[in-house]
Amino acid sequence: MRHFLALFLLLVATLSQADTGSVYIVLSDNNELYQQAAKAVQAELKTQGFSKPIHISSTQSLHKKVLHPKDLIVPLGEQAALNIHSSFERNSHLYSFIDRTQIPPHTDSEWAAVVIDQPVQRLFDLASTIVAGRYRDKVIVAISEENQLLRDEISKLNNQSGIPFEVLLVDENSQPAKVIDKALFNAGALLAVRDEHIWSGENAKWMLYQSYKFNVPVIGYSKRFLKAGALASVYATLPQTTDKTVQLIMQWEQQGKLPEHGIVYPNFEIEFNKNIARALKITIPEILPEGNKN
Amino acid sequence: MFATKLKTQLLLITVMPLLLTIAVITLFILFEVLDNIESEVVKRGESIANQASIMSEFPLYTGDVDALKNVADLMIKTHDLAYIRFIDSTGQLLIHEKAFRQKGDLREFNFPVRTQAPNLDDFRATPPINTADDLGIIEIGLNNNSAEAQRFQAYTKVLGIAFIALLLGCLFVYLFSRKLTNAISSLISSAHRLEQRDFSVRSHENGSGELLKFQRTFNKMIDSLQQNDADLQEKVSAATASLNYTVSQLSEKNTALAQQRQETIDLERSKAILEERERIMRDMHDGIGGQLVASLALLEREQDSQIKQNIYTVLTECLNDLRLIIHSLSMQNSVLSSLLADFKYRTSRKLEQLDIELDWHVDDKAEQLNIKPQTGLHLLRILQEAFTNILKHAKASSIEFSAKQSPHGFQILIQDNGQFTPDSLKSPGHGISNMKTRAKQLGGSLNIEQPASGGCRIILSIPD
Repeated sequence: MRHFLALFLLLVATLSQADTGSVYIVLSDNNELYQQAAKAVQAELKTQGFSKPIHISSTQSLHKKVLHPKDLIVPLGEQAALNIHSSFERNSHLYSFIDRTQIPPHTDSEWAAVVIDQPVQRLFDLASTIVAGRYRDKVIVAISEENQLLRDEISKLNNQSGIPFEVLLVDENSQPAKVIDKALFNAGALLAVRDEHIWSGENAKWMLYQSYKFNVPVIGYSKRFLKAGALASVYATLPQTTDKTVQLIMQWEQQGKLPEHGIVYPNFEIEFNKNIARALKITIPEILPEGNKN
Repeated sequence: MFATKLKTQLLLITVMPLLLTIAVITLFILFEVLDNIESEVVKRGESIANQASIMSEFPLYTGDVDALKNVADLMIKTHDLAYIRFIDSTGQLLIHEKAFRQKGDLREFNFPVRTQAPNLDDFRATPPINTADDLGIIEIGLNNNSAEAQRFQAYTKVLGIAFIALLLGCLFVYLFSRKLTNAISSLISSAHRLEQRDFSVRSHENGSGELLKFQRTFNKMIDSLQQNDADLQEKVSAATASLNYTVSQLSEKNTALAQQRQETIDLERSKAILEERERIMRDMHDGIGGQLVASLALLEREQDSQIKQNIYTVLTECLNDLRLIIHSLSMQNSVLSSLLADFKYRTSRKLEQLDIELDWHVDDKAEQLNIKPQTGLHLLRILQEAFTNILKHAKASSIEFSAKQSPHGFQILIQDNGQFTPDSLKSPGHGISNMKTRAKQLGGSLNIEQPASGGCRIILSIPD
C-alpha cells in the first residue's frame, strides 16, 4: 500500500511539473544561426529569471514528446513553424525568425510571430527622409502582382509628407529589372520589400544594377542589402529579434498567455553604405525615423 | 680541324662557351619575354572579355540585342577587336559584330558570362548555395598585331643585346688574349724557323709569368742547340776532311793499282810479243839463217868467179841483214849506246877493209836512252842506209859519227868527206826517201846537207 502511495505521489509530482508550462524552442535546422538564436533566447530568459523549464529540440524529437497544453512552443525559422503548427494545435505558438509570408495558416491556437520582415512603412519613412528636398523625390516599390499581403500593407501606408510614391506591379512572366527601367528615370529611391519574385536571385541583382545605373538609391530590408549595393537598410538584428522573442516569453510566463497576437516586429537598425552614398552623392540624413542609425 | 691557328683555337675556346652562355641566356630571356608577351596578350584578352562580360551581363540577362550590339560596337572601337560574338545560354548566336577591316593574325578568347545572385536574407535557415548561372558566352577575336610588334621588338632587343654582348665579349677576349697569343705566336714562329735550322732565331720575350719563363727557357734551349750544332758541324768537317783524305789515298792507291795492273798487262803483252818475236827470230835464224849459211858454204866449194863472188856478197849481205833484223828483234829494252856499239862492231870490219877512218863519238846520255825493238830497227836501217851510201857512192876516207843530247831530243850526226852532189837530193832515190820516212815514224826528222868542208852531212834528230 505504501508502495502504491509513493508511486502515485511521484506520478503526480511529475505531471504537476509538466502542467506548469515549459518552453520548447524548436529549431528548423541544426545550423549555427538557429543554435545561436536558441541559446541566446535561453540565456536571456535565464538572465531575466525565467523559472520554467526551457527545452531546445528539433522538430523530430518534439514530436516524440507529450506536451502539456500550457507549454509554449517557440519555432525558430520557417521549417519548424510548418512542422509544428498542425501537430500541437492546443499549445501556444510563438514563431520567431520567420518571414511574414511563411507564417502557417492560422488555427485556433494562440500564436504570435516575431518576424524578420520590416514593415513597408519603416522603409518608406526612411526613403522619405532621404529624398526629401531632392529633385528626384519619387519613391517607388516593385511588388509581385499576386502579392496581396504587400499590396494591402502598401495601401495602408501613411504618407503624411506627401512624397510621390509609385507601386510597380510585376507579373510573374516579366523581369522586374525591365519593369522598373522606365520608373527609375525620375525616381528618388527604390524600396526593397520581401517579395521572392522581385528581390531574390538574379532579379535582385539586376534590380540593384538598374538602380545604381540610374543613380537611384535602394532601401533594403536586411543588412545584406548593404553589401549588395543598397544605400541603406532597415533591419532587425539577431539580438533585437531575440530580445523581442524573450520579451514575449516573459510576458507569457507572467500573464499565462501571449501578450500580443499576430505579427510582431522587433526593434530595428538603420544602416547606411557610405560608399554608395558617396557614389550617388547622397547626404545621409542626421535625423532618422526611429530605431538606431549607423 | 678548321682551327689550326693558335689564335683561332684560343678564340674558339673562349668564345664558344661565351657564345653558348649568351645563347642560353638569350633564349631564356627571349622565352621569358615571349611568355610575358603571351601572358599579357592572354591577360588583355581576358580583361577585355571580362569587361565585355560585365557590360553585357544585363543585356544577356534581358536578351536585349540592341544593348548587346552597342556593347559590341563599343568594345570593337575601344579595344581594336577583330570581332565579338555574344551567344546566350541556349547556344543561340545573338550578336556577331566584326571590325571594318581585319588586321593579320587573330587571338581568340571566349569567356563565359555568369551571374551570381546575392544573398539578401540575414536569417535564412538554409542559405541558398551561391552558384553562378550561365548567361551566355562572349567570343572575341583580338588583333595580334600589337603582340607581333612586341614580339618583333623583343626579338630585336634581345638579339641586339646578345649581339652586342657577344661583340664585347669577343673584343675583351681579343684584348686579353692578345698578349698571350702574341707570346705563343712568337714561340711558334721561332719554332718554325728553328725547324728550318735557323739557329739565329730567338723568341721575343713579350709574355708574362710562366709564359715569359717558357720563352726564356726556349731561347736558352736554342742557344744550346746552336752550340751543339756548331760543335757538330766542326766534327762533321773534321770527319769529312778525314774521309776525303782517305778517299784520296784510296784513289791514289787505286790509280797505282790500275797502273800496276796496266803495267802487268803491258808486261804480259810484251812477254807475249817477246816470245812471239823469239819464236820468229828463232825460225828465221834456224830457217833462213841456216839456209843462207848452207848456201855460203856450198858457194865456197865452188870455183872462184865473179858470179860466185857476187852471189857470195849478196848472200853475205842477206845474212848480215838477217842478223841485223834478228839483232833488232832480240833487243829487249836495249839502250841506244848498246845499239850503236853493235852497229859499230858490224860496220867497222867493212870500213877497215875499205880503209875508211871512223871517228866515233857517243854521248854518255845514250846509255840512259832506252830503245824499243821497232825503234832500234828503224834506227839501224837509217844508219845502215847512210853507211851503205857512203861506202858505195862517196868514196870517202873518213867518217865522223856523233850521238849527243840536243835540246829537242837526241841528235845523230854522220858526216863524211867524200863526194856529194846536193842536186842529187832534188831527185832522191828510194834509199833517202825510206830514211826520211823511218825518221818520221820515229817522231823525228832527217836532214841531209853538204858542209862547207865538203862531203855530206846527215843529221837525224829523234825525240827522247
